[in-house]
Amino acid sequence: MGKKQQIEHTPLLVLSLLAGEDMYGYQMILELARRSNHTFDMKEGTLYPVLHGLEQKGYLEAYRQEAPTGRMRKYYHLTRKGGEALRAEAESWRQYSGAVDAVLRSSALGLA
Amino acid sequence: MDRSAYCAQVLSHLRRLSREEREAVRAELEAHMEDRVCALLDLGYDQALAEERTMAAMGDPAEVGREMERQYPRGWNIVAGVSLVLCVFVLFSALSGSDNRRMIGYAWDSLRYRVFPPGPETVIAGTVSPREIEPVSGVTEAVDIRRTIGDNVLRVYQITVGTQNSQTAAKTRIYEGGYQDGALAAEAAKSQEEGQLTAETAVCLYHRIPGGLVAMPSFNNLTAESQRGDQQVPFRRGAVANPMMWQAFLRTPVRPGDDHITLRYAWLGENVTIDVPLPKEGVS
Repeated sequence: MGKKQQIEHTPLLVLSLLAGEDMYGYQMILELARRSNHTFDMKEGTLYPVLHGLEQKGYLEAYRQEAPTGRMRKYYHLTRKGGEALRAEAESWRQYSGAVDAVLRSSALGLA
Repeated sequence: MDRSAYCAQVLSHLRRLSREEREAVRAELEAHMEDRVCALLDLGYDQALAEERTMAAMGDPAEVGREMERQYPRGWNIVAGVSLVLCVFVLFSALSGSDNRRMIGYAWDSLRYRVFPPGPETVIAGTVSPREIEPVSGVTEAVDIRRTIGDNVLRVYQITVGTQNSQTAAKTRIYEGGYQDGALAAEAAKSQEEGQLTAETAVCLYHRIPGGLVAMPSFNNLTAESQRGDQQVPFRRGAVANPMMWQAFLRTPVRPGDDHITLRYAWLGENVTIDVPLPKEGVS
Protein backbone atom coordinates (compact mmCIF):
# COMPACT_ATOMS: atom_id res chain seq x y z
CA MET A 1 0.00 0.00 0.00
CA GLY A 2 2.82 2.38 0.88
CA LYS A 3 4.54 1.90 -2.47
CA LYS A 4 1.27 2.34 -4.39
CA GLN A 5 0.46 5.57 -2.63
CA GLN A 6 3.96 6.82 -3.23
CA ILE A 7 3.63 6.23 -7.00
CA GLU A 8 0.23 7.90 -7.17
CA HIS A 9 1.32 10.90 -5.18
CA THR A 10 4.67 11.48 -6.82
CA PRO A 11 3.26 13.62 -9.66
CA LEU A 12 1.49 15.83 -7.12
CA LEU A 13 4.66 16.17 -5.08
CA VAL A 14 6.74 16.96 -8.17
CA LEU A 15 4.29 19.62 -9.35
CA SER A 16 4.28 21.09 -5.86
CA LEU A 17 8.09 21.21 -5.74
CA LEU A 18 8.27 22.97 -9.10
CA ALA A 19 5.68 25.56 -8.10
CA GLY A 20 8.43 27.36 -6.20
CA GLU A 21 11.34 27.16 -8.63
CA ASP A 22 12.70 25.27 -11.61
CA MET A 23 14.69 22.18 -10.59
CA TYR A 24 16.56 19.23 -12.03
CA GLY A 25 15.94 15.61 -11.04
CA TYR A 26 18.58 15.08 -8.38
CA GLN A 27 17.73 18.43 -6.81
CA MET A 28 14.08 17.36 -6.57
CA ILE A 29 15.04 14.12 -4.79
CA LEU A 30 17.05 16.03 -2.19
CA GLU A 31 14.38 18.68 -1.73
CA LEU A 32 11.62 16.09 -1.43
CA ALA A 33 13.56 14.19 1.22
CA ARG A 34 14.31 17.37 3.11
CA ARG A 35 10.76 18.75 3.07
CA SER A 36 9.17 15.42 4.01
CA ASN A 37 11.76 14.66 6.67
CA HIS A 38 12.82 11.65 4.58
CA THR A 39 9.29 10.22 4.46
CA PHE A 40 9.37 10.16 0.66
CA ASP A 41 12.66 8.36 0.09
CA MET A 42 11.67 7.05 -3.32
CA LYS A 43 13.81 4.99 -5.66
CA GLU A 44 15.47 7.80 -7.50
CA GLY A 45 15.29 6.32 -10.99
CA THR A 46 11.49 6.17 -10.79
CA LEU A 47 11.33 9.96 -10.62
CA TYR A 48 12.25 10.28 -14.31
CA PRO A 49 9.28 8.41 -15.79
CA VAL A 50 7.07 10.70 -13.70
CA LEU A 51 8.87 13.80 -14.97
CA HIS A 52 8.68 12.65 -18.59
CA GLY A 53 5.01 11.77 -18.21
CA LEU A 54 4.22 15.22 -16.85
CA GLU A 55 6.22 16.74 -19.66
CA GLN A 56 4.28 14.72 -22.22
CA LYS A 57 1.02 16.01 -20.73
CA GLY A 58 2.23 19.58 -21.02
CA TYR A 59 2.39 20.13 -17.29
CA LEU A 60 6.16 20.65 -17.39
CA GLU A 61 8.64 22.12 -19.81
CA ALA A 62 12.31 21.11 -19.81
CA TYR A 63 15.40 23.04 -20.76
CA ARG A 64 19.14 22.48 -20.37
CA GLN A 65 21.20 24.83 -18.29
CA GLU A 66 24.49 24.82 -16.46
CA ALA A 67 23.99 24.18 -12.74
CA PRO A 68 25.94 26.07 -10.04
CA THR A 69 28.22 23.02 -9.85
CA GLY A 70 29.23 23.62 -13.48
CA ARG A 71 27.51 20.55 -14.88
CA MET A 72 24.82 20.74 -17.56
CA ARG A 73 21.44 19.85 -16.10
CA LYS A 74 17.98 19.31 -17.46
CA TYR A 75 15.74 21.68 -15.57
CA TYR A 76 11.99 21.33 -15.37
CA HIS A 77 9.60 24.25 -15.31
CA LEU A 78 5.93 24.20 -14.25
CA THR A 79 3.66 25.38 -17.08
CA ARG A 80 0.37 27.23 -16.69
CA LYS A 81 -1.43 23.96 -17.44
CA GLY A 82 0.70 22.25 -14.81
CA GLY A 83 -0.20 24.95 -12.29
CA GLU A 84 -3.90 24.36 -12.92
CA ALA A 85 -3.40 20.60 -12.53
CA LEU A 86 -1.52 21.19 -9.29
CA ARG A 87 -4.39 23.24 -7.84
CA ALA A 88 -6.94 20.60 -8.83
CA GLU A 89 -4.87 17.69 -7.51
CA ALA A 90 -4.04 19.49 -4.28
CA GLU A 91 -7.74 20.16 -3.65
CA SER A 92 -8.57 16.50 -4.32
CA TRP A 93 -5.82 15.45 -1.94
CA ARG A 94 -7.07 17.76 0.80
CA GLN A 95 -10.57 16.33 0.48
CA TYR A 96 -9.20 12.78 0.52
CA SER A 97 -6.91 13.30 3.49
CA GLY A 98 -9.66 15.20 5.35
CA ALA A 99 -12.01 12.29 4.86
CA VAL A 100 -9.40 9.80 6.08
CA ASP A 101 -8.67 12.01 9.06
CA ALA A 102 -12.36 12.25 9.92
CA VAL A 103 -12.70 8.47 9.87
CA LEU A 104 -9.61 8.05 12.04
CA ARG A 105 -10.87 10.61 14.53
CA SER A 106 -14.27 8.95 14.86
CA SER A 107 -12.52 5.60 15.33
CA ALA A 108 -10.33 7.10 18.04
CA LEU A 109 -13.41 8.36 19.88
CA GLY A 110 -14.89 4.90 19.80
CA LEU A 111 -11.72 3.36 21.17
CA ALA A 112 -11.48 5.90 23.95
CA MET B 1 26.26 -3.24 -12.07
CA ASP B 2 27.90 0.03 -13.05
CA ARG B 3 26.28 3.24 -14.26
CA SER B 4 26.73 2.38 -17.91
CA ALA B 5 25.09 -1.02 -17.49
CA TYR B 6 22.24 0.56 -15.53
CA CYS B 7 21.51 3.04 -18.31
CA ALA B 8 21.77 0.30 -20.92
CA GLN B 9 19.15 -1.75 -19.09
CA VAL B 10 16.80 1.20 -18.82
CA LEU B 11 17.24 2.05 -22.48
CA SER B 12 16.65 -1.54 -23.57
CA HIS B 13 12.96 -1.03 -22.69
CA LEU B 14 12.55 2.23 -24.61
CA ARG B 15 11.37 0.98 -27.98
CA ARG B 16 8.95 3.81 -28.75
CA LEU B 17 11.47 6.57 -28.19
CA SER B 18 13.55 8.08 -30.97
CA ARG B 19 17.34 7.87 -30.83
CA GLU B 20 17.53 11.48 -29.64
CA GLU B 21 15.00 10.85 -26.88
CA ARG B 22 16.84 7.73 -25.75
CA GLU B 23 20.13 9.60 -25.59
CA ALA B 24 18.46 12.39 -23.61
CA VAL B 25 17.21 9.83 -21.08
CA ARG B 26 20.68 8.32 -20.83
CA ALA B 27 22.30 11.73 -20.27
CA GLU B 28 19.76 12.65 -17.61
CA LEU B 29 20.23 9.38 -15.69
CA GLU B 30 24.03 9.59 -15.92
CA ALA B 31 23.97 13.16 -14.63
CA HIS B 32 21.79 12.10 -11.73
CA MET B 33 24.09 9.21 -10.80
CA GLU B 34 27.13 11.44 -11.14
CA ASP B 35 25.57 13.88 -8.66
CA ARG B 36 24.76 11.07 -6.27
CA VAL B 37 28.24 9.54 -6.43
CA CYS B 38 29.91 12.92 -5.90
CA ALA B 39 27.67 13.63 -2.92
CA LEU B 40 28.62 10.31 -1.34
CA LEU B 41 32.32 10.87 -2.05
CA ASP B 42 32.00 14.23 -0.29
CA LEU B 43 30.58 12.38 2.70
CA GLY B 44 33.70 10.21 2.82
CA TYR B 45 32.55 7.14 0.93
CA ASP B 46 35.12 5.44 -1.25
CA GLN B 47 34.46 5.22 -4.98
CA ALA B 48 33.31 1.58 -5.03
CA LEU B 49 30.91 2.00 -2.13
CA ALA B 50 29.59 5.25 -3.52
CA GLU B 51 28.87 3.52 -6.84
CA GLU B 52 27.19 0.62 -5.09
CA ARG B 53 24.97 2.85 -2.94
CA THR B 54 24.05 4.92 -5.96
CA MET B 55 22.95 1.88 -7.92
CA ALA B 56 20.85 0.77 -4.97
CA ALA B 57 19.26 4.22 -4.65
CA MET B 58 18.33 4.33 -8.32
CA GLY B 59 16.10 1.27 -8.12
CA ASP B 60 15.31 -1.48 -10.60
CA PRO B 61 16.40 -0.38 -14.11
CA ALA B 62 13.79 -2.64 -15.73
CA GLU B 63 10.99 -0.96 -13.75
CA VAL B 64 12.34 2.48 -14.60
CA GLY B 65 12.60 1.50 -18.27
CA ARG B 66 9.07 0.08 -18.44
CA GLU B 67 7.57 3.11 -16.69
CA MET B 68 9.49 5.46 -18.96
CA GLU B 69 8.26 3.58 -22.04
CA ARG B 70 4.68 3.98 -20.86
CA GLN B 71 5.06 7.76 -20.89
CA TYR B 72 5.54 7.78 -24.66
CA PRO B 73 2.35 6.41 -26.23
CA ARG B 74 3.58 6.47 -29.79
CA GLY B 75 1.07 4.05 -31.25
CA TRP B 76 -1.46 6.69 -32.24
CA ASN B 77 1.32 9.06 -33.24
CA ILE B 78 2.59 6.49 -35.71
CA VAL B 79 -0.91 5.93 -37.08
CA ALA B 80 -1.41 9.67 -37.39
CA GLY B 81 1.99 10.06 -39.06
CA VAL B 82 1.35 7.29 -41.54
CA SER B 83 -2.09 8.72 -42.30
CA LEU B 84 -0.61 12.14 -42.91
CA VAL B 85 2.04 10.73 -45.23
CA LEU B 86 -0.63 8.78 -47.14
CA CYS B 87 -2.83 11.86 -47.46
CA VAL B 88 0.06 13.93 -48.76
CA PHE B 89 0.97 11.14 -51.18
CA VAL B 90 -2.60 10.82 -52.48
CA LEU B 91 -2.94 14.59 -52.83
CA PHE B 92 0.41 14.84 -54.59
CA SER B 93 -0.51 11.99 -56.92
CA ALA B 94 -3.84 13.62 -57.70
CA LEU B 95 -2.26 16.95 -58.49
CA SER B 96 0.77 15.63 -60.30
CA GLY B 97 -1.15 13.54 -62.85
CA SER B 98 -1.18 15.33 -66.18
CA ASP B 99 -4.90 14.68 -66.64
CA ASN B 100 -5.70 16.10 -63.22
CA ARG B 101 -3.53 19.14 -63.77
CA ARG B 102 -5.36 19.68 -67.03
CA MET B 103 -8.73 19.42 -65.32
CA ILE B 104 -7.68 21.97 -62.71
CA GLY B 105 -6.66 24.28 -65.55
CA TYR B 106 -10.06 23.78 -67.21
CA ALA B 107 -11.88 24.59 -63.99
CA TRP B 108 -9.77 27.70 -63.51
CA ASP B 109 -10.63 28.91 -67.02
CA SER B 110 -14.29 28.15 -66.36
CA LEU B 111 -14.15 30.46 -63.33
CA ARG B 112 -11.94 33.10 -64.90
CA TYR B 113 -14.07 33.68 -67.95
CA ARG B 114 -17.23 34.27 -65.99
CA VAL B 115 -15.54 36.78 -63.69
CA PHE B 116 -12.84 38.59 -65.67
CA PRO B 117 -12.53 37.26 -69.21
CA PRO B 118 -9.35 38.34 -71.01
CA GLY B 119 -9.37 40.36 -74.18
CA PRO B 120 -8.22 39.15 -77.61
CA GLU B 121 -4.68 40.45 -77.09
CA THR B 122 -4.19 38.35 -73.98
CA VAL B 123 -5.73 35.25 -75.48
CA ILE B 124 -3.76 35.45 -78.69
CA ALA B 125 -0.50 36.15 -76.83
CA GLY B 126 -1.01 32.90 -74.95
CA THR B 127 -1.45 30.74 -78.04
CA VAL B 128 1.24 28.56 -79.60
CA SER B 129 1.71 30.79 -82.65
CA PRO B 130 0.68 34.29 -81.60
CA ARG B 131 2.33 35.81 -84.66
CA GLU B 132 -0.03 34.06 -87.00
CA ILE B 133 -2.93 36.16 -85.90
CA GLU B 134 -3.50 39.64 -84.61
CA PRO B 135 -6.58 41.08 -82.99
CA VAL B 136 -8.57 43.69 -84.81
CA SER B 137 -7.22 47.10 -83.92
CA GLY B 138 -9.69 49.90 -83.44
CA VAL B 139 -12.29 51.07 -80.96
CA THR B 140 -13.04 48.59 -78.17
CA GLU B 141 -16.03 48.57 -75.86
CA ALA B 142 -16.80 46.22 -72.97
CA VAL B 143 -20.25 44.67 -72.98
CA ASP B 144 -21.88 42.08 -70.77
CA ILE B 145 -24.65 40.17 -72.49
CA ARG B 146 -25.56 36.70 -71.26
CA ARG B 147 -28.00 34.16 -72.66
CA THR B 148 -28.77 30.81 -71.08
CA ILE B 149 -29.93 27.75 -72.99
CA GLY B 150 -30.16 24.54 -71.06
CA ASP B 151 -27.22 24.54 -68.68
CA ASN B 152 -24.99 26.63 -70.91
CA VAL B 153 -24.40 30.35 -70.69
CA LEU B 154 -23.20 32.31 -73.68
CA ARG B 155 -21.53 35.54 -72.66
CA VAL B 156 -20.61 38.40 -74.97
CA TYR B 157 -18.04 40.48 -73.17
CA GLN B 158 -16.23 42.72 -75.62
CA ILE B 159 -16.62 44.16 -79.10
CA THR B 160 -14.04 45.96 -81.23
CA VAL B 161 -14.54 47.76 -84.51
CA GLY B 162 -11.47 48.36 -86.65
CA THR B 163 -9.38 46.84 -89.37
CA GLN B 164 -7.41 43.64 -89.56
CA ASN B 165 -4.05 43.38 -91.24
CA SER B 166 -3.39 41.38 -94.41
CA GLN B 167 -1.66 38.51 -92.63
CA THR B 168 -4.61 38.00 -90.30
CA ALA B 169 -7.06 38.23 -93.18
CA ALA B 170 -5.14 35.57 -95.10
CA LYS B 171 -5.06 33.26 -92.09
CA THR B 172 -8.76 33.80 -91.64
CA ARG B 173 -9.43 32.68 -95.18
CA ILE B 174 -7.26 29.59 -94.78
CA TYR B 175 -9.02 28.70 -91.57
CA GLU B 176 -12.46 29.14 -92.97
CA GLY B 177 -11.63 27.20 -96.09
CA GLY B 178 -10.58 24.28 -93.98
CA TYR B 179 -13.70 24.14 -91.89
CA GLN B 180 -16.62 25.34 -93.97
CA ASP B 181 -18.24 24.30 -97.18
CA GLY B 182 -17.26 26.12 -100.36
CA ALA B 183 -20.04 28.67 -100.72
CA LEU B 184 -19.95 29.95 -97.16
CA ALA B 185 -16.18 29.94 -97.05
CA ALA B 186 -15.96 31.91 -100.28
CA GLU B 187 -18.48 34.42 -99.03
CA ALA B 188 -16.67 34.76 -95.75
CA ALA B 189 -13.28 35.02 -97.36
CA LYS B 190 -14.45 37.73 -99.69
CA SER B 191 -15.37 39.91 -96.77
CA GLN B 192 -12.04 39.51 -95.05
CA GLU B 193 -9.88 41.73 -97.17
CA GLU B 194 -7.16 43.91 -95.86
CA GLY B 195 -8.46 47.22 -94.58
CA GLN B 196 -12.03 45.99 -94.33
CA LEU B 197 -13.87 47.56 -91.42
CA THR B 198 -14.55 44.63 -89.13
CA ALA B 199 -16.39 44.03 -85.88
CA GLU B 200 -14.66 41.51 -83.65
CA THR B 201 -16.92 40.14 -80.91
CA ALA B 202 -15.41 38.29 -77.96
CA VAL B 203 -17.68 35.58 -76.60
CA CYS B 204 -17.34 32.70 -74.22
CA LEU B 205 -19.50 29.75 -73.28
CA TYR B 206 -19.55 28.02 -69.92
CA HIS B 207 -21.74 25.81 -67.79
CA ARG B 208 -23.99 27.64 -65.33
CA ILE B 209 -22.25 25.71 -62.55
CA PRO B 210 -18.49 26.41 -62.37
CA GLY B 211 -16.60 23.32 -63.44
CA GLY B 212 -19.55 21.84 -65.33
CA LEU B 213 -18.99 20.54 -68.84
CA VAL B 214 -20.25 22.66 -71.72
CA ALA B 215 -22.20 21.32 -74.67
CA MET B 216 -19.79 21.86 -77.54
CA PRO B 217 -22.29 21.62 -80.42
CA SER B 218 -24.13 24.65 -79.12
CA PHE B 219 -21.10 26.72 -79.99
CA ASN B 220 -20.35 25.20 -83.40
CA ASN B 221 -23.30 26.81 -85.14
CA LEU B 222 -22.76 30.24 -83.62
CA THR B 223 -22.56 32.92 -86.33
CA ALA B 224 -22.27 36.68 -86.43
CA GLU B 225 -24.13 38.81 -89.00
CA SER B 226 -23.94 42.42 -89.99
CA GLN B 227 -27.09 44.47 -90.47
CA ARG B 228 -27.02 43.59 -94.18
CA GLY B 229 -26.73 39.91 -93.56
CA ASP B 230 -22.97 39.66 -94.14
CA GLN B 231 -22.04 36.59 -92.19
CA GLN B 232 -18.91 35.04 -90.98
CA VAL B 233 -18.34 31.73 -89.31
CA PRO B 234 -16.79 31.61 -85.84
CA PHE B 235 -13.23 32.78 -85.90
CA ARG B 236 -11.65 30.55 -83.33
CA ARG B 237 -8.00 30.78 -84.25
CA GLY B 238 -6.09 31.82 -81.16
CA ALA B 239 -9.11 31.16 -78.97
CA VAL B 240 -9.41 29.00 -75.87
CA ALA B 241 -11.40 25.79 -75.78
CA ASN B 242 -11.68 23.10 -73.17
CA PRO B 243 -14.44 20.82 -71.91
CA MET B 244 -15.51 23.34 -69.28
CA MET B 245 -15.26 26.56 -71.23
CA TRP B 246 -15.16 27.77 -74.82
CA GLN B 247 -14.05 31.17 -75.95
CA ALA B 248 -13.91 32.65 -79.45
CA PHE B 249 -13.76 35.82 -81.48
CA LEU B 250 -16.29 36.32 -84.23
CA ARG B 251 -15.52 38.74 -87.04
CA THR B 252 -18.11 40.41 -89.17
CA PRO B 253 -17.63 42.98 -91.92
CA VAL B 254 -19.39 46.21 -91.00
CA ARG B 255 -19.84 49.61 -92.65
CA PRO B 256 -19.90 53.15 -91.32
CA GLY B 257 -23.33 53.90 -89.93
CA ASP B 258 -24.02 50.39 -88.68
CA ASP B 259 -25.14 50.34 -85.10
CA HIS B 260 -25.10 46.62 -84.21
CA ILE B 261 -24.21 43.14 -85.29
CA THR B 262 -26.27 40.04 -84.58
CA LEU B 263 -25.18 36.73 -83.10
CA ARG B 264 -27.28 33.71 -83.97
CA TYR B 265 -27.21 30.17 -82.77
CA ALA B 266 -29.61 27.28 -82.37
CA TRP B 267 -29.48 24.77 -79.58
CA LEU B 268 -31.94 22.37 -78.02
CA GLY B 269 -34.66 23.52 -80.47
CA GLU B 270 -34.29 27.18 -79.63
CA ASN B 271 -33.10 29.84 -82.03
CA VAL B 272 -31.29 32.55 -80.16
CA THR B 273 -30.62 36.02 -81.55
CA ILE B 274 -28.41 38.50 -79.73
CA ASP B 275 -27.93 42.05 -80.97
CA VAL B 276 -24.61 43.50 -79.91
CA PRO B 277 -24.32 47.29 -80.17
CA LEU B 278 -21.27 48.58 -81.99
CA PRO B 279 -19.08 51.29 -80.47
CA LYS B 280 -20.34 54.54 -82.01
CA GLU B 281 -16.88 55.95 -82.51
CA GLY B 282 -15.81 52.88 -84.44
CA VAL B 283 -18.51 53.17 -87.12
CA SER B 284 -18.96 56.91 -87.35
